[in-house]
Amino acid sequence: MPKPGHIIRQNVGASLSSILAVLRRVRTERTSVRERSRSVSKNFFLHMHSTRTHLYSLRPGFTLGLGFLSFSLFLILLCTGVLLMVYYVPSVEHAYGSVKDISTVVTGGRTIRNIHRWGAHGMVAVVVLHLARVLFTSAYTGTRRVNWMVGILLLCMTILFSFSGYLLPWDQLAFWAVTIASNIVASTRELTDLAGITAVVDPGGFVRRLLLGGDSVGQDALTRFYLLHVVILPITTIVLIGVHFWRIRKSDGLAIPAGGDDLVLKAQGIIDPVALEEAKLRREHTVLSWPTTLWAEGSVLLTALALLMLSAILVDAPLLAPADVSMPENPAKSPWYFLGVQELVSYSAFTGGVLVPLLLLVAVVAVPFVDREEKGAGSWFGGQQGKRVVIRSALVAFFLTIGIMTIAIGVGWQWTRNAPAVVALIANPGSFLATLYAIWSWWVLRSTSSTKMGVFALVSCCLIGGIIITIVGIWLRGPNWEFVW
Amino acid sequence: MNALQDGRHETEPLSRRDALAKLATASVAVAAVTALMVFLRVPIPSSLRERTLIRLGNPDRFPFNTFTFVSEKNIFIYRTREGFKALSALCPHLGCVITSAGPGFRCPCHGSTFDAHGTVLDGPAPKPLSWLKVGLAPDGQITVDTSERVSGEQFLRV
Repeated sequence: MPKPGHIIRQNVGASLSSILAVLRRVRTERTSVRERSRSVSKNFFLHMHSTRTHLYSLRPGFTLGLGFLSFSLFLILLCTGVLLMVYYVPSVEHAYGSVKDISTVVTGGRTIRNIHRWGAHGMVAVVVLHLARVLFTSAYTGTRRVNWMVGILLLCMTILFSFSGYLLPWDQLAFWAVTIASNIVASTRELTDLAGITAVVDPGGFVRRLLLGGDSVGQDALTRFYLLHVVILPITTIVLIGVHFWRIRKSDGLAIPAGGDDLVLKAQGIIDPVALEEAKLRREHTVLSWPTTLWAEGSVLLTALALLMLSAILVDAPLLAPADVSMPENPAKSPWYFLGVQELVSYSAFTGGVLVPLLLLVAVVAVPFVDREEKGAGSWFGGQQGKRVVIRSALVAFFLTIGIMTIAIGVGWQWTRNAPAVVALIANPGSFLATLYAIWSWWVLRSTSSTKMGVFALVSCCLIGGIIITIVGIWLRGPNWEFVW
Repeated sequence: MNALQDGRHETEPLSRRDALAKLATASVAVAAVTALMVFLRVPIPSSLRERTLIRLGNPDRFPFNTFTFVSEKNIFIYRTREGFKALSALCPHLGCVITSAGPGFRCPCHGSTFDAHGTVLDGPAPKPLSWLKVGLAPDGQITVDTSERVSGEQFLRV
C-alpha cells in the first residue's frame, strides 16, 4: 500500500504535466500561421489589426511610433486618472486639500499624480508631432481625408483634456491659467464691441458662461470642468479613437509609398526581379501582426511607461498655494503648450487668442482639400524637393519670426494705440506672421506648381513660428510679462 | 415611355402612403431637434451664483484721497471730500487683478498700465478700467453694484 503522500505527489505530478501539455499545445498552435492569423481576427481587441502588417508600416523611422505612443499615453492617463478620482473631491473647499493628500498621504499617490501630469504634457507634444508626421508623409490623401479630420478632432480633445484638467487642483496656477483662458474665449467682444452688437451677438461670452456656469471661475466652473474631464471628454475620445483606428483599416493600413513592396524586400537582400515577384506572391513584404506588430506596439507602450515612471520619480508635479481670487501669480503662466498663445494675447487678446489659432485650425483642416496630389504619399516629405522646401521654409519662418518678435518686443506694440480701431484689433505679431507665412507658401506653391509643396511650406512655417513664440513665452517672459533675457 | 417624354413623371401626385411617411419623418425630426435644444438649454445657467451688489461695510473704514483695495471683491474704493468712487480691479484685457503702481495701476499678467482715471497708458488692455456704481445700504454700509458701469466723474456723497 503506497503512502498517502506518494499519491498526492503522483496526482500533483499528473496535473502539472497535463497543464504543461495544454500550454505546449497552445504554444504549438500559436506558432502556425493559420492560428496566428486567427488569434488576431477572432479577438475583439486585436481585430483592429489586419492579420498581416506591411513591413514598411513597421519601420520605426517612418511612423516614429507616434500614433501608438499617443494611444499608450491615453491608456496610461485613463488608468492613473481613475486612481486619482478615488481621492479627488471636486469642490472649491476640498479640491486643493484632496490633491495635497494625494501628493503627501496616499500611498503611491504622488507617483500616480506625477505620471498623470507628465503624461498629459507628453500627450499634447506627441499628438502634435503625430500630426506633423502624418502631414509630412502625405498620409492624408484619398480615403484618408476623413481620418485626417478625426485626427484633428482628437487633437482638439487632447487640448480640451489639458485645459479642463488644469483647473482641478484649484491652486494659483490652476485658477489664473483658467481665468485667463476663459477670458480669451470671451475676447470676441473686442470684435463685437467694435461693431456695436455685443448686446445682441456675444458668442465668446456665451461659450465662457457655458464653460464656467457664470462669469468668473468658481464652484460651477470646477463642477463643469470636472464633468468635462472625467465623463464627456473620455467618452468622446474613446469613440473617436475607435473611429480613427477603424478608418486606418478601411484605408488598408498605413500609407505605403508607390513601390513600397519592392523597397522592403530589397532591404532584405532580395534583388533579382523574378525572386522579387515570387516573394511578393508569398506576401513576404508583410509579416503576421501576431506577434510582430504587437511586439512593436508593446515596446512603444512600455517605453512610454518607463519614461513616465522615470520623470515621475525625478520631478514632482507642481502644486502652488491654494487659489487666491484677489492675487494673480506673477507672472501667471499657462502650461507650456499654451504659452505661445499667451505670448500673442499679450499684444491683443482677440487676434492673438482667437483669430490666429482659428486660422491655424482652418489651415490644418484644409490641408487634404488643398493638396490632392497622390504622388509622394507615404514617404517623408514626398521626396527630395519636399525636403528642400521644408528646410527653406523653416529657415524663412525662423528669420521672419525672430524679426517680427524682435520688433514687437524691442520697439513695443504701442503704435496700435493711435491706429484706427480695426487696425488695432487685427494688428498682432501673430496675424502679421500668419500673413507673411501665407505669402511665402503661396510663392512656393506657384514656383513649384505643386499644392503639396505649398502645404509643406505653410505647415513648416507655422511649426517653426509656433515653437519660437512658445519659447519666448516660456523662457523670455518674467514678472508683469516683461521681457527677460 | 410617353410619361418620360412629356415629363409627367415629375409632376406625379404624391401617394397617400408617401405623404404619411414624409409627415412621420418630419415629425421625428422636429421631436429630435426639440429634444436636442432642451438638452443644450439645461447647461446654460438661468441665474448666476455671483452677487453683483456687494456690501463693503462702514464708510468710515476707507481713508481719504487714496485707493483702498477690497480683497476678495476685487474693487478699489476711492474716497475724497466729495464722496466715494469704486473702480473695478479686473483688467479689461483678460481679467487679472490689477495692483496699485505709483499713482496708477498695473496688471501683473500682461503688463497693462493705467492712470488714476483708469485710462490705459500701455499694454494690451483694449479699454479703460470700469468705474462701478456706489450706493448706500439702509444700514449705512457702502455698496457697489458690479453690474452697473458709471463715468469716473460720479461720486457718492455720504
